Amino acid sequence: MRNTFIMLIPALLLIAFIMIVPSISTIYYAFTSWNGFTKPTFIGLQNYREIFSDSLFWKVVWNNIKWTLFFLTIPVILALIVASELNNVPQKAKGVFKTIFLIPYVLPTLAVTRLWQAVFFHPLHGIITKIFNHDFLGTPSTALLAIAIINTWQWWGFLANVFSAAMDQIDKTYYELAHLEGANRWQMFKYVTLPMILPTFIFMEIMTVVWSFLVFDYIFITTQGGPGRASEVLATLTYKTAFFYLKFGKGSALATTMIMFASVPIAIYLRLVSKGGERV
Amino acid sequence: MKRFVFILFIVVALVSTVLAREVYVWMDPSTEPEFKKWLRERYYPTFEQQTGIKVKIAEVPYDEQTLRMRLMSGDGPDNVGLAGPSFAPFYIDAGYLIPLDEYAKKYHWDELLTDLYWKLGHYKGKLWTIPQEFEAMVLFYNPKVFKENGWEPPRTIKEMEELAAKMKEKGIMPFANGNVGWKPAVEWIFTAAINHIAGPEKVYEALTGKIPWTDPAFVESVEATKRWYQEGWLGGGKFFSLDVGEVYQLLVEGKAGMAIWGTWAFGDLTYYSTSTEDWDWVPFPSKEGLSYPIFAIGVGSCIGINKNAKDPDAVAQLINFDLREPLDNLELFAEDLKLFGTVAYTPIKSFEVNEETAKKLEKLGVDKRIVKFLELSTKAFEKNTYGYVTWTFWPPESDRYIIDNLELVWLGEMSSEKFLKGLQEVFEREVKEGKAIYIPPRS
Repeated sequence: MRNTFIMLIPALLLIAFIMIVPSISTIYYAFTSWNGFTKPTFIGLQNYREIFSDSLFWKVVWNNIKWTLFFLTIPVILALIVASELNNVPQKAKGVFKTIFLIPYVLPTLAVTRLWQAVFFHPLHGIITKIFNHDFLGTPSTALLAIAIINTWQWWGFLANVFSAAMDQIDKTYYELAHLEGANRWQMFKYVTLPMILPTFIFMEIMTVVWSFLVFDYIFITTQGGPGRASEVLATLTYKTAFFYLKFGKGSALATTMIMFASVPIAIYLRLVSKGGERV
Repeated sequence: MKRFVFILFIVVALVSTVLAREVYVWMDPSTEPEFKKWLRERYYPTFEQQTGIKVKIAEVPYDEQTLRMRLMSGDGPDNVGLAGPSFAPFYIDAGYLIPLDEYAKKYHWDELLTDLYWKLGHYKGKLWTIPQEFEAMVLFYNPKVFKENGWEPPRTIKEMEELAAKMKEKGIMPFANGNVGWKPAVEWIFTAAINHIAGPEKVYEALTGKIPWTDPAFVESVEATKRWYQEGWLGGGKFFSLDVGEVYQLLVEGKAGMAIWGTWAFGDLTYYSTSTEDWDWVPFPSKEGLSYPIFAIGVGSCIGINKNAKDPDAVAQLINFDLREPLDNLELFAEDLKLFGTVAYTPIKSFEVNEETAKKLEKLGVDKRIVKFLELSTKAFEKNTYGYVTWTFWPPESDRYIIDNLELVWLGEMSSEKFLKGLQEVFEREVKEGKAIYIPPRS
């Protein structure tokens, strides 16, 4: 027992330095005025008062909500359809498809985003720009959608793989029985597949909410939150507040609000786990 | 005997290693290979040869965050390059830099630097940084496109707008401007408008607190920038999705007719250009009634000495070498101008770009268009027809406010009046906090 604890020390120290110390520091700085250079000054709840009374903050939260709703539906539906179809494909071909679908996920975000910007959404000669005769990234009403499409391209293949793996665990006799009962493909999906992969499905949806409130890289690389504030999200606002305006205190306060938003689905998930146990 | 010689050799080697003077500098990995090569093989070796001080180069991303983190941890380059005078107070107050007064005295920098640069380097009564680089907002154009269409470069805002409308009709992008990759590109347009529509006198009065930013002259300027965007002239209406790295190509290829850039573009244009006919520049047009030419000038960066530098004297020598480059190493300066354009130029009192110097520089292969700028801008100083760029003369948060909010005006989400009211509030607060930048009096 004692040896086990000793063996855990390096990992615990690592976690303490990488996660706990920065987290506590962020919470502390959220109550200070700090420019990142000189000593921080304690100002109580002033940063939070400023944040919550700023209409920009609520606009940004709304952008995060729109982003979340998109990712809770579009990539998930796409991944579920493809994963279901993979079930009807011979095992060898299935492996090949799954690998192909996973390739975008393992590519660096910077490369993927730049590639989409140059090939599909380029304002002068992008393929999608030309097809729709519309500058997606440069127009406020479509900028966030365009970035979400780039992210989806990289993300849905991973989701399809996860769902496919969950579907592989389903006992084939359920499908045979449903078939004998005269169920069509949709009914088999609705009454067999979906209930059987529900724990995985819920977990991925909850994680999607968490990740959606933390999204940064795709947006910062493409539009930096523009045009205007059309694609601004909490993470880009936090970054700009801290590093562009040199308001690290307020930036930390914004970061803690991000954590609060992301904590809600985690709390729901933990509640479900504690209640349902093996079901989720 | 052999043993004695061996020991002596070791001692000499050790002593020379200990005594060897060295300056540790950073070079951004994204620098063009040609530029890197010149710095590695020509610029620093010349310094080493002339002073006996070694330069140790490290390729490190030279951005504000990396620099701050490294300085916080007691590291960083010996010569600390900052984005401009408005950033210096943060570093000075944090104690990352050492005062340069002693070196200024030793190397007579007060006699060397122009008054503006000398004063911009001061903070709380001491000299901390040496402002470097000289830049101004100008109007670039493609002479071939102009020749083919029988157009003349505009001298007034009205002429420029008429020309932009004609270009759009012909399917030519009026202004090769975009802000992808460099969001602050939006403030170039603001800078050009307020200095050339409201005029530098008005800007001076606002910067010194005599009039507010809500003055109708500034409203008119902001409205003009909004018109330029909404008419689809800036980046052909694709300003927010056009990459700043692509715009040079658009101008030299004649896909765009004009561009609102600063003179830092000289270096990039030389890099993309394939003939002498694919780009040229004129002073940015002025509103009728204002003088012409006006040059909205700025300082691109400033340099200080890291408090952790092992040999600050050697760093001061490197700064001095750089400052005196046009005086002591004209050939090297010419090469510098050829590669980096006016980014390589810091105005100094003893080096006037008159007709004679201009001829010398041209003889050394410096592009005539660059030399023409150095000549004209020198005269602008003499004639008091210079303006102010936002990234040098505005306090940091006011500058950032412009970058983040002007877009909203263009997109119709904020009125020009509300935008300027917001600017006035931020500006006033920063002035109260002691963040105002030195504004040279207009003689």
